[in-house]
Amino acid sequence: MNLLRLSASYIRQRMLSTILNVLVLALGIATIIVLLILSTQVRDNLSNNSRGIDVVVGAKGSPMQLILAAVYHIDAPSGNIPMDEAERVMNDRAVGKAIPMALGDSYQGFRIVGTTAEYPEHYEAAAGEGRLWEREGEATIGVRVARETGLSIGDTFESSHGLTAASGETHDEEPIEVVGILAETGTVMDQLILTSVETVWHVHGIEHDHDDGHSHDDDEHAHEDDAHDHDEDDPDHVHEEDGDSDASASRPTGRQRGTPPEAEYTAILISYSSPMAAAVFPRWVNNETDLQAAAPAYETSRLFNMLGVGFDALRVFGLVLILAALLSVFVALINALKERRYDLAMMRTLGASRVKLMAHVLLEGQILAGMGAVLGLVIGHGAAAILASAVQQSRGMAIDGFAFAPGEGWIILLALGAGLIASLIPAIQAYKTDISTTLAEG
Amino acid sequence: MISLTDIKHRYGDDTVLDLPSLEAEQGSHHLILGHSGSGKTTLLHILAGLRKPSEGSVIVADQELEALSGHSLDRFRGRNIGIVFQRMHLLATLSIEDNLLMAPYLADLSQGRDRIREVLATLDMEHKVSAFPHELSHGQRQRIAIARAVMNHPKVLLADEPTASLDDDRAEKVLALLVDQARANNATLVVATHDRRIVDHFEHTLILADGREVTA
Repeated sequence: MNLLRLSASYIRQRMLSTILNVLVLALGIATIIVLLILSTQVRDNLSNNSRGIDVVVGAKGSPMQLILAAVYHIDAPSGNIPMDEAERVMNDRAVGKAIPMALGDSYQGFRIVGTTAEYPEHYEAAAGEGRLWEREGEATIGVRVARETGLSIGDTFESSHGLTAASGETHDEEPIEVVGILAETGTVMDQLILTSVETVWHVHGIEHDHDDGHSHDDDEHAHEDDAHDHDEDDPDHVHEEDGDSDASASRPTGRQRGTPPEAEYTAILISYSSPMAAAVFPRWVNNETDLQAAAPAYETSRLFNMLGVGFDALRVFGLVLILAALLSVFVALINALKERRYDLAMMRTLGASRVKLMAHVLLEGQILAGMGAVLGLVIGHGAAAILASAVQQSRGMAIDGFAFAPGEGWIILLALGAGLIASLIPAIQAYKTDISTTLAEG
Repeated sequence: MISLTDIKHRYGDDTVLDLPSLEAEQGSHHLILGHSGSGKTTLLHILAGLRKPSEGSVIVADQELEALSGHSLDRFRGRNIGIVFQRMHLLATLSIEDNLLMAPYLADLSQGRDRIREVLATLDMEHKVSAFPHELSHGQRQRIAIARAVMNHPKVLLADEPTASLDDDRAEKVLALLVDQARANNATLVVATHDRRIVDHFEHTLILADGREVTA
């Protein structure tokens, strides 16, 4: 016999009330834990994917859209950059490293990025199997792409115009060969298909110079832009005529109908040559060119400030649930104490000290809070895992619902503290039990 | 042994107990007889250290109770005084075994299952060790209440109205159990009751009326 067994026996006695109390508390804790896990890991994910990138240069438009499209690959690009403008930017003194990108195509929902070898190098991504692309028509795919599409080295695939799995039109006459699979990095690299910028231009029939000096004729590719049958329902594929810029490198800005498409980039990821550049370079790009410069750190912070309102509302909801559970535990203990005042008096006649009775009631509150906390952890992590899977499917963000977020310990302490507060007044009443009067009544 | 001297107890201005003296030798059996409101339960609670008298000295099991307070008084009570109440007050959430184990646990004594078997054997209740109070008859619950009171080998065994609302046969059996257990533990037995049927079983009887001793 011990105090824990005694307290547990009373909790078992009122099972329904116990289940309800524990469930309400668990839901409150679970809500806050889900928020903690998601906000922490989304923030980590975003910051991990934008590390080392000081600024992104792209077509004029929404700076946040540019960052989401070019850094995190979760939105459509804001348009394309004429090559002369791009080269002017890339050759600026303030630019230390410039990684050009041509975006707009995908395969089974995984985005194809035409870029240089510096891009995977920036994320410390190396080929886990095979090698990086070297020639036009070759691609190296992220580990998640390989896992979910079944593509392996030596396979070929046709890119689709647009950025979603539903994008209907394929460049089926320009197959791309998989020559390598990147080792897992936990970054956006895992879910991209990397190839050369020239490959992207090539499948879109864009004339460009090769290292070997030859150039393609548009007619060879039978992929004239005008022949595209665009899906009007594709949200990732916005026409210029609609007042927005094109999402694809295949639709260069400013090109007249019937003229051959020109080689363009979609965005350039830039690391400054010196910290001083941050003060002048974005202003210069925004004021002196037809492009825009957007800082990932600033836009990510702005995004979190916007999301923060929603997070705060849910956090308050979770706290309200915990408060409701606290009141419920308090009422349950007060009522239970009335029912068992003779039991407490009897325990005193058997030698129980006032402190022992107080501890017995406090322990009961702690058991309820502990059960709520454990169940809350299980529900919270389970829900986070389900949400993480959905986020991964729709946004390609790797989130581990079962990883512990910093601050979860505090939530558990908060729950136990709530249990302590809820049981404090009943415990004091137990402490003050007048044995003689109570037994005389009974 | 019990020794009360000049005991007075008041609720406000009302004196509910005024007892100049009460002496009880170790192992003796005493009956406190009185109607409801006569002060017999107050006296029993004073003997158990559950209530401090307004005046007077109380010595139980060679211990001046006034000298004890707080946890030391609780511990003394748990180790030296066994109490049986009319309504038994068994803990409904615990098995009979756990109800009995509560006595040594709450008195900070080592818990022996051998003692449980020994006590239940003398009460012919060994087969109910795993049962819960609601599974027992009234008489069986009463026996378990007596078993719990003697678990810690008390020097004093107190019983408040143990035979109330029982028929003659049952009252006789309960009283016999109390006397047997008191003898087995060499405990001083004090029974407070209004039940005159059991007067003949006691060598010493104190009759109370309005808090004072009266002659029969």
